Amino acid sequence: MLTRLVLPLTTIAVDTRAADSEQASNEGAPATAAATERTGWLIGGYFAAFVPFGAWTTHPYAGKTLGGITYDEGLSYFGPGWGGSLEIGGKVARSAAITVDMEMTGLSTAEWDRAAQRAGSNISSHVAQFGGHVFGVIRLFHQRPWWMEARMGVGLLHVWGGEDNYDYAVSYDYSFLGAAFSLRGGVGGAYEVSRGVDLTLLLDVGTAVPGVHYSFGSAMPYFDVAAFIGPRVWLRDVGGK
Amino acid sequence: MIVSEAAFDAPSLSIFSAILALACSGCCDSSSSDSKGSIPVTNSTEFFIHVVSSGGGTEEYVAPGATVTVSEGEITALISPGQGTKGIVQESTSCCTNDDNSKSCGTMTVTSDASGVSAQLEQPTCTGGGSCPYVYAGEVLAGESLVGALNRGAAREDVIVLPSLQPVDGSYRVRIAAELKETEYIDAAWLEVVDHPSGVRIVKDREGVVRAASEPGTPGRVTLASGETLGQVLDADDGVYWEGRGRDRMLDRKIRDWVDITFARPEGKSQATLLVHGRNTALVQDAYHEYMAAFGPGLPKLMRAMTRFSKYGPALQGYLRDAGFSLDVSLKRPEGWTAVEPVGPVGPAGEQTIAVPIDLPSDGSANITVRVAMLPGAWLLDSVVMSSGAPIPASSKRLDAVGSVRRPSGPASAESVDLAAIAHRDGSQVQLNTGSSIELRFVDPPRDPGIERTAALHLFGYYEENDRSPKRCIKWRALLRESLSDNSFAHHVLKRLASQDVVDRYADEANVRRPR
Repeated sequence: MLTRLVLPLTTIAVDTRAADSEQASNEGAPATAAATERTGWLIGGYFAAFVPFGAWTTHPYAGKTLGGITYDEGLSYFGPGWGGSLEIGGKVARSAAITVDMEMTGLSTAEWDRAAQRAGSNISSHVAQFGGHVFGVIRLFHQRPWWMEARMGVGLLHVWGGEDNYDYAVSYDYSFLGAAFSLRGGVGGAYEVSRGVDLTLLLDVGTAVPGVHYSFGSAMPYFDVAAFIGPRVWLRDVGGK
Repeated sequence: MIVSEAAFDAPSLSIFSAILALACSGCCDSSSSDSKGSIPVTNSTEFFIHVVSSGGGTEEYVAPGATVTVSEGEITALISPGQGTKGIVQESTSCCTNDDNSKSCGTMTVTSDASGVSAQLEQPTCTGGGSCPYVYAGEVLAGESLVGALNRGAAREDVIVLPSLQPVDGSYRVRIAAELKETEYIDAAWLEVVDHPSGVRIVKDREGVVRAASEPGTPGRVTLASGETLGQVLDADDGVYWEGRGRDRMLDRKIRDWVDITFARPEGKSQATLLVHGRNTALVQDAYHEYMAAFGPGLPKLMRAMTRFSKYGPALQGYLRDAGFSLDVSLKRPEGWTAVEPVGPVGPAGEQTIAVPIDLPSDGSANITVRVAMLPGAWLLDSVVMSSGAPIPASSKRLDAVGSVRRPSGPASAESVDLAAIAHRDGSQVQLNTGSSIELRFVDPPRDPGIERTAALHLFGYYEENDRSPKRCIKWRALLRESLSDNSFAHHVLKRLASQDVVDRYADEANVRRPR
């Protein structure tokens, strides 16, 4: 089993054959056995956690001394956040599916807020992101009640935020954030908890360009690692056929 | 400009509909007006700054020495948080449109010092800008006429004295030109020639009446509002001016700077005539165009639609006076300062002398003190003298034009049509579009030997500023806010003046002469 996972291409082929052999062995078997093959439309709702990483998360003040205040090299502007995701899709082949995912999460700016307040500035900042992707999903492994899959998707990621500056009673949006072309990919696993319902865990890595673009310097692409956990419902299977 | 409801007569349905259409054609506070220009903002502080524009565009973490571009509007620049220093400044910026419909926008530089953050604005200058007909005595620019006669409802008669006009080959030649972005409508034009003894000065008063003045008395003492003495600046027409630039003084709730001028009381006189010689500045004219443009391209259209109301002209003149285009004159009496008739605007193209009759106080004091107040930066005063001589025998004749030449030239039949149009105030008009002019010829009548003759051109008409934009939206919120705000136009001029000070300082250092 582990050997198959190490060689994904082989694993796909093996799994397909395994699935075929499983189905072949199940020909003529009772209807309950055929229900293990997910079919038709799916809908999933997930709790999402995002961990941004890379140069884009670093504050412009990092490593600088401004007004007599020296900031750490690693001063972070954007940190981990959480939110939710909605997935809609359907099987297009025995081991393949296409899904459309929309996710929305906040990102933490607490480290920057604290650093600014230590420097005497009274601010409150906020950042969030919204993504929409189309994924191609390939089933890697299926051994009831477990599934494993890989997915790759493209779409758009829109990051926005702003700051309330209480020192001046002024609020402004972060102009250095915006929409970006996004590429995501990762692996996932699912556990069949009941007919047509899987508890699903997805792990992604994503990037988006152009990313963060301050008035100085060039744009820095977004990078993040994300995890999604929640139920995925196969509508036809839930219908009991 | 808001004309109070009390100023309106009952409007006709068509006029009301036009105004309603303009009013409902949309608010252009955001993006529905003419396209916004871009203002470069330079960070000349040692800190990162945030730049926020109400017109759109925000730039955070602008590095020291860097320049970013935001949309015109209210621009707020603040020191980015987290640098141990606070500072914020807000400036109102605007762009103007050139003849070729391109935008010219100023620049903004943010600086900081121990007292905080400040911003210097370089205001844009655009080609042209509507104004009043220019009057040439021969080929010499004498000044402007019909100042403030904006749109048909403000049509009026005006007089411009032409002391330098001399007959050539038995004729006077006077040219009326539309040199800026406006169209002139001249209903009547004639020349008044006044025969008078030598040494007599021919001037006009506020009502356009031509007067003869002699024996001018020069000021004895001139005191600025700050209490300092001005010196011999206002005693002669010598091109040495006083321009009030004090910005932190109020007079009758208006932002004004002033001089108090003391004259020796003329013996045995109960009346005198103050002769004020000067002109408006180009700065106040440019500031006016910027200020009006900020309310959207629909405002000139709305003003033209309102000219049908009979109170339009008086309301406009009142607004121009209160806004600071006129000089406020007052006389010191035992009971305090008493307002005398103001000196109306004459435009920046040429200096004129305006006569202000005053009734001398009967307290028998040895000195007469008058106060001349101006909106800072709005006037260049060359001289203020007092005439109190005996009535001067002077006779005047009216001369009608006997010839006219259009530039660019028109059909041969145009001359007779033009002469007929301007012969009388009868509604028939000569229309002068931007870049065109008309030269009128008047025959110089015989004169007695030893008598001097001075000419004064009378015009009746009005002008309309060229309306470049087809859009009709008005920035109602801004218009209402400024109309309800005291000294709104004055504050705009002061901002212009602050920028001008920076430019003048650099010009002085570079020994560059700048036009006023």
